[in-house]
Amino acid sequence: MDTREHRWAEAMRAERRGDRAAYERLLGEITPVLRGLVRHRLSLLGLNAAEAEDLVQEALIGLHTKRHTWSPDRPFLPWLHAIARYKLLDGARRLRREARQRIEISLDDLAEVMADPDAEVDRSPIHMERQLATLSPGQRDVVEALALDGESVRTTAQRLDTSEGAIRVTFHRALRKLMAAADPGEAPKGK
Amino acid sequence: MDTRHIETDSLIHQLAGEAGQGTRALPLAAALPLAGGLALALALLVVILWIGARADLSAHLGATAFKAAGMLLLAAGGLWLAAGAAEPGRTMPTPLVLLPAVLLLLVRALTDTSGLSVFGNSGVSVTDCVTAVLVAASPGLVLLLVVLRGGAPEHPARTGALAGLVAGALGAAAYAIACRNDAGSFLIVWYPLAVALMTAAGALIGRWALRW
Repeated sequence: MDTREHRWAEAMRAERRGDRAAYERLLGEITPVLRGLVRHRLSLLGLNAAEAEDLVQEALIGLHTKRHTWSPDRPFLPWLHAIARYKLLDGARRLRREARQRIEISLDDLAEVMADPDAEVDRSPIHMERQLATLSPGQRDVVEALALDGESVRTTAQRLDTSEGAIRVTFHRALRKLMAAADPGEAPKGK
Repeated sequence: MDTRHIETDSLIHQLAGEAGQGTRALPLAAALPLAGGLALALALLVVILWIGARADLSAHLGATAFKAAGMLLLAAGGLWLAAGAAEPGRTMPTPLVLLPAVLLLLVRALTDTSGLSVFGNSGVSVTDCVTAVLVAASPGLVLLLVVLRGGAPEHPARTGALAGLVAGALGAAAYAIACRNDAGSFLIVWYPLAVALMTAAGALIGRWALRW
């Protein structure tokens, strides 16, 4: 679609000049396209809506942090497509891996419960380590920096070479996942 | 509208707040050749400080030039490919850009009538040579990977392999000034082996170091 190519490339140029409104409009227009891609390409994986939206957000963050790799003298749509493809494949791989981990961890927990059914829920550092292990490496970095080391969002973003917005989203997502892992009564999202 | 979509909208708003901040001082297409030059300088430094240029360098300029030129051609082709692999939406150059280097090495091997051994001058020549190239190439590999992290490679392992190829070829080009094994057959067997080892190392490291 030639007009879309032209419009979006123009918005990317505006972003470089610091035009927030144009950039926000651009991301807003790209988001439903990403949602469509996720639904269309990844429905076979049996993702639920929350996981699909995770992937959309990750693709947006990827586009944002790598936007300097688009050069105004090259077409925008092929670049966007490559970014989206990489992020969606990467996310799908991660979700598969996490699903596997969740199953292994619940087997561990089961063994523990069977060995000592009366035990209190363990809040020891070792247990905490194991819960942190349910997070992806990126989420773990952020949780450790913000919650355990008390770093600010800004310094964490700078250290991990990403945006503050990305750090916030990663942190919230990690917390949701930790809460789901800590309280099996409230069914965790996912398979 | 459900809460996840609202969350996405607020993410978009936050990201938009950073408009205009993502520019880099140096585009990757300029930073990569620069990193290549620096990698060569580092490799030369390692070779000179650790082994030193061969004492009879001036008497064997021809053989040395073949080694250095073959490896520099290989590095140049590798850099070209790496630049194509590092950013999405770039057209990848054909792997044939590596052909000039291969042809030069072939010409050298086929026209070499010195009768020198493929295993070099002594029993330890092969291991010494390969080890020296790997050591000389390693700082350059780190440097190239750091620069490539600024890109957005769609295939991290493949891009890492190209970084290893470039670093290995530059390490070998630097080592040429110290290498006393002048046989064309030595050049076409053991130099590429060292470069191949660096390529494999680059692929392994790139697999996780170049993910984004």
